[in-house]
Amino acid sequence: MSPALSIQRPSFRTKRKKKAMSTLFYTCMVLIPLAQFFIFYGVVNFNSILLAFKSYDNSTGVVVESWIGWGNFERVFQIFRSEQTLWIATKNSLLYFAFNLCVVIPLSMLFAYYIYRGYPAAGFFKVMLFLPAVICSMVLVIFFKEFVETAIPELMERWFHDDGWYAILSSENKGPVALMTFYVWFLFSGSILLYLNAMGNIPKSLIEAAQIDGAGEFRTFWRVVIPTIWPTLVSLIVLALADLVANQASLFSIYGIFAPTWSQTLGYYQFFLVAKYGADSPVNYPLASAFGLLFTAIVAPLTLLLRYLLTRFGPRED
Amino acid sequence: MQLLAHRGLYRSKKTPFSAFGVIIGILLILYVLGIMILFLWSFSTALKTTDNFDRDPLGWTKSWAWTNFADVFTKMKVQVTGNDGKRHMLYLDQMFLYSLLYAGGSALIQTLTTATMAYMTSTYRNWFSRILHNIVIVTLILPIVGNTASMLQVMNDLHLYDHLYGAYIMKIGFNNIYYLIFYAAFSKIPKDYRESARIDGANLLQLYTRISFPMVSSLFWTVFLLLFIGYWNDYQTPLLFLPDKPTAALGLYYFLQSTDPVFANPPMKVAAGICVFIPIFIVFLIFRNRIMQDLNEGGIKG
Amino acid sequence: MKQKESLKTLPYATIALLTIATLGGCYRDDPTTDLSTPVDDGTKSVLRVKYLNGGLRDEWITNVCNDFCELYKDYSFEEGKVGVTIIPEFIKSNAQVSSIKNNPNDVFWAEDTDYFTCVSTGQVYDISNWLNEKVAVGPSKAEEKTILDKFTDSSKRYFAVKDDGGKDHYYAIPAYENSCFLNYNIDLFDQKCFYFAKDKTADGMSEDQLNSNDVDDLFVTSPNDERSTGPDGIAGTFDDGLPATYADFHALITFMKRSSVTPFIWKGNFPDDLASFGLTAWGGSSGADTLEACLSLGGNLSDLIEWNNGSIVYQDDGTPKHLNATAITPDNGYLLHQSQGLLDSLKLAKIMISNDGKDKNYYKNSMSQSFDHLTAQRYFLNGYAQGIVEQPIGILVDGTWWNSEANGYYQSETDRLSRHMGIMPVPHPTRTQVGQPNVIVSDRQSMIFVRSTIAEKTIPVAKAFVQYLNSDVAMNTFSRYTDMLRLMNYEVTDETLKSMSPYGRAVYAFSKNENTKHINWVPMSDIAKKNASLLSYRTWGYSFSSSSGDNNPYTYFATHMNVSAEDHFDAINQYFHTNWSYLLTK
Repeated sequence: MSPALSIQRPSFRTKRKKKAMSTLFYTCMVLIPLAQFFIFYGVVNFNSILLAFKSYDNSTGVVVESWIGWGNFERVFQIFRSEQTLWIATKNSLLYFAFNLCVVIPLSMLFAYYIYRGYPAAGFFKVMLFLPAVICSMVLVIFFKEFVETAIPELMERWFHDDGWYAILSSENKGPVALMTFYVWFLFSGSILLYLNAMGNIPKSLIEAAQIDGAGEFRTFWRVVIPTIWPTLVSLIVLALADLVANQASLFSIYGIFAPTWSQTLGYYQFFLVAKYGADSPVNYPLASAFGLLFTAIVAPLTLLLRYLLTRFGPRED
Repeated sequence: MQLLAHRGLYRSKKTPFSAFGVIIGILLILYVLGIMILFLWSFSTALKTTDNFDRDPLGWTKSWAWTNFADVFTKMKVQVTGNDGKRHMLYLDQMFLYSLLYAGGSALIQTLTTATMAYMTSTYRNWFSRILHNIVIVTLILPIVGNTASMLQVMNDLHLYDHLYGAYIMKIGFNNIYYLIFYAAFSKIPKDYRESARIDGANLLQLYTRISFPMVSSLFWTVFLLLFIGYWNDYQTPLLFLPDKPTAALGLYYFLQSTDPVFANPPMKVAAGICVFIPIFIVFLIFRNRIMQDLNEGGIKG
Repeated sequence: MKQKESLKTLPYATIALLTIATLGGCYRDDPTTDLSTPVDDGTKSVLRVKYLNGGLRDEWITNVCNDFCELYKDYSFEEGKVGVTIIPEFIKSNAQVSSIKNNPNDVFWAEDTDYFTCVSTGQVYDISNWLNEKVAVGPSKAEEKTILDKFTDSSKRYFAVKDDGGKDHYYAIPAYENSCFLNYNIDLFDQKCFYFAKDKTADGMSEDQLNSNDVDDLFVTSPNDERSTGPDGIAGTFDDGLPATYADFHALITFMKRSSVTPFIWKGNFPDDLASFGLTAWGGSSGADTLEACLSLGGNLSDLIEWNNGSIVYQDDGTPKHLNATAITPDNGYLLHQSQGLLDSLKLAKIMISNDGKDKNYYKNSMSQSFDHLTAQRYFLNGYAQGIVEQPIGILVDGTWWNSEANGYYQSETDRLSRHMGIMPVPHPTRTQVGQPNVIVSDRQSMIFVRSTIAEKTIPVAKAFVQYLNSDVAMNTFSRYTDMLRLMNYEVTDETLKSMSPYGRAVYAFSKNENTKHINWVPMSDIAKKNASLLSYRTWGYSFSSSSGDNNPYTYFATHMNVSAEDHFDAINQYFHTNWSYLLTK
C-alpha cells in the first residue's frame, strides 16, 4: 500500500476520548446559561404558578401564607364580571394590537421599502426612523407629556380660540388619540431594521425581472417584496400578538399608578398590581400571578395558531 | 443600471420616481416633522425659566436659561445605601456611571452568552442542541405574563436583589431574538475553517475563540451596541431590582414622579430629559452605521 | 479598512469606559456637606434620624434635634461619651419597608408606610415600654403624661398589635394630622365680598337660578356687612358668611365666576387630594360614626339609603328612602356604601366639577397630567399678581400641609405672616344639617418608628429622642414651623399660635373646635386590619370604587359630565354589592 493511501484511522480509544472531550466542552459551555435559564425562566415561572394559588395576610403581625386553591382565579373572573376596568383594558389591548397590525406594520414595511429602494433622503429617513429606539422611553414621555399638556392647549387657544384642549391626557375623548399617537409614532424604529435586513436578502434579479415585466412600484412591493420577506413579517406579527397582554403602552411612564380607567391596558393593570405597593408588600402578588397565568394560557395557544396559519396560508416566494 | 448595493439600497436608474414613492415620501416627511417639532419645542422649553414658560409655553425661549442644564447636574440626586452600608447621594454624572456599568455589563454578558449558545447549537448538532434551539423559539413566541412578582421573590431569596451582579446574572440568558441571528451567522461559516484549524492542533475552545468567533465579531459588536442602547434606556428593571443602583433612566423616572420643588416645572423636567438623552445620542451618531447595518436575520423558519 | 479599525478600537473603548465607570463609581462627597453637618467625633453618642423632608420642610425637626442635643449635652448615654450627635438624613424620600432593618438610620419619620408589613416582617422595634413611661424632656425632667396618654383612641386601636398572650405592643407613633380641605383666600374673599349676607341663603333656588345673576343678591356688598351664620349655624365664629349648604356653595361658585374669579384650583398629576376631600365631605355629611364604621366594619348606622335592583329607592317626595338603624358586620359591610353621606359627597363633587355650560369651575389646567401641586399653590398665591393667570383663584383643594410646602412662594416671612388664608368648612347637604360637626380625616399613614436592628448602645439615646420628639415642647415646635398639628393630644401654647401664620391659626382653630371630629383613616378592628390594603389612600379602592372602574369621582365626573351623582352612587353600590364576598378577606 502506498503511504498516501495509508491513512491511519484513529483508534477506538482516541475516538472515544475525542467524543468525551467534545461532550465535556459542550457541557461546560452550555452549563451556566442553562442553569440561568432553569432558575430565571423555569423556577421563576413555576414560582409564579405556585403564587397564583396562594394568599398573604400580614394583619396579625406575622406574614401568613396560605393555599387558597382557585380563589385568585375566581377573583379574576369576578373582576371581569363586576368591573368595567378589565373589559376596557382588554379592549384597549386589542386596539393597540390592531393598530400595530394595521398601521405600524404596513407603514414600517412601506418606509423600509422606501429606504431599500434608495429614494431621495433615504439615509436621513433611516436615521430618523431609528432614532426613537435610541432614546429612553422616559425621555420621550417627558417631551411628549409636556408638549401635549402645555403646548397643544396653548396653540389651540391662541390660534383657534378653542380652550377645550386642556388636560388632554385626562380626557376620555382626546386622551386615547394622544396615547395612540405616541404609541404609533415611536414604534416604527424597532422593526424598520428587520424589514430592511430582510429586503436586503431579496435577489436583485427578482426586482429587475418584475420591472422588465412592467410592474410598477406598488405591484413590485406587493407581489415580490412581501412574499419574499414573509417569514420576517410572520415573526413580527406573532411577536405583536405575544405582546398583546404584556403591552403597557408606556402608561406607567406617563401616569404612574394613576392611569385613568379608560386608558388602561392588560399589561398596565398587571404591572399596577405589583407596582401599587412595590416590592414592600406581597399582598397583591398572588392576584397578579393569577392574571398572568390566565392570560398566558389564552394568548400562548393563539400565538402558535397564528404562526401556523400565517406560515401555512401566507404568500410564497414562488 | 446603477446599483446602490454598497449601501444596502437598490434602485435602478431607469426606474422613475413613482407616485407610490411620492406618497410614502410624504408620509415619511410628516413623521419626521412630528419628531423634529417635538424635539425643537423640548429644546426650547429646556432653555426657559419657570416664569418664561408660565407666560409662553408655546413660543421660542426668551430667557436662554442654560443654567437649567447645570442645575440638572447639581440638583438631580437620588439617595441610596452604598455597599459600605452608608447613605450616599448620587448625582446625574454618577448615575451615568451606573448606566454604563448596568448597560455595558449586561449587554456584554448577554451578547457573549447568546453568541456562545448559538455557536454551540449550530456547531454541535445533536439532540440536545435541537432541544435548546426549540426552547428559544418556543419561549420567544410564547408570552409569559405576570411573573414580575415571582422574579422579585426569587431575586430576594437568592440574595441577588439590589446587586449589580444580580442584574448581570439575570442577563446570562440566550432566549432572545439575537440567538437566531447568531445561529444563522455561525451556520454560514464553512466547516473547512474549523477542520483546518483542528488539523493544525487547535483545541475545541480555540476553534470557537480563534476561528468562529472572529468571523462574527462584527455582528457581535453590533448586537452589543443594540443591547447596550436598550439597557441604557431601561428604567423598569433597575426600578424593581436595583433601587440602590439608580441608572440615569431610573433617576429620570424618579424625578418625573418627584414632588421636589426644584423639578416641579416643565423646563427642568425637559432639561433633565435632554441631559439623559445626549450621551446615548452621541454614541448613536458615532456608531450609527454599525448599529443600522444588515443583521441578516431572515425570519424564523425553523 | 475603516470598519476594521473601528472594530479594533471598539473593544478597547468599551473596556476603557467600563474601567472609568468602575473607578468613578466611587461616591463623591455630597457637596451639600459642610462644616455645619454633624460628624461622629467619637466623643458623643450618635443617633441617626431619617426624616421625610417633604412639604413640612425640615426647619422644625432641625430645631428639635438641636434642642435635644442641647438638653443632653452633659449627659452620658454610654460609657466614655458625653452628649449626643444627631446625624440627619432629611431628604424627600421614604424608607423602603423591606430594607428598614438594613437602613443605617435609627429613628424614622415616614409617611405612606404600611405599618402591618413593617411589623410582620420584623422591620421595626417594639417601643411599647417607651410609650408607657412619662415623657422625658431632659436628663432629669419629665412631663406628667406618657406618650400613650397623648394617643387618640383611634391611634391606640390601630397601632396596638396583640401578642399570643393578648398583650398590646406598639411599634410606631402617629406623626401628623392632615386632611384635604377647601383652602380659601380670605383676602380675596374680603375684597370681592364673597360672603353670604345675614339671613340670606340659596336654599330653594332652582338649578337655573343658581347659575344666574339671581345669586348676586345673596352676598354682602362690603366686607363689614353682617354675614350669615355659616355652616356651624352660630354667629360670630370663624365661618360666618361661608356657604352653609350645598345650594349656598353652588351660588358662591356662580358668584365667583361672575366676579371674574376662578373658583377652584388643584393639582392634576395625582388626583388623590380630591378623593381625600371627597372622603372628608362624606364624613361631614354622615358624621364621624359612619367613617369609623368603614374602618371597623362594625357599628350601627341610620343614614343608609334603601338600594334595590341596582338603584336608589325613592319616597313619594322624591327623596331617597332610608333603612332603619342597621347593624354593620363584616358580612354586610357593603351596606356602608349605601350611606347618605356618600351620595352627598358625590353631589358635592358634581357641583365642583360641573360648569354652567360656559366656564369651568376650576382652573383650566387642574386636570392636566403635567400640573403639579407646587404649580397649583404658586398660581393660587401669586398667579394673578404676577400676570400668569387671567383671573385670581379663590380656593385651593389641598392638604393642610400646603402652606408650609408653598413657603418659598411667599415674597418674605412678613408676606407669609400677613396674608390671610383659611379653611372653608365643608358645607352641609341641607339646612337641617347645619351645625353638625366638621370632620378631619388623616389619611397619609404618617408615623415615627425605630428600626428593629438598632444597636444596643443606641437604644437609650433613641428612646430619649423619641420621647422628646413627642413632648409638648417639640410638638409645639412642629406646629410653629409647619402650621399643622401632630396627630396627638397636646396643647398648643399662645406663643406658638402667635408665631404661626394666619393659615396655621385657622388650622388650629378648625382642629380644636369642639364641633370638629377627628378620624385617623386606618383600620380599627382585626377584620379591618386584614383588609388594610383596601383602605390605602393612594388608590382609594375602598371608598369610591365603582363598576365603571374609576376610583375617583372627581376625575370621573370631569370626563362624564352627563353622569349624575345618583348614577355614580348606583355604580359604586353595584360594585360593592357584587364583589363584597371577594373583596373581604376573612
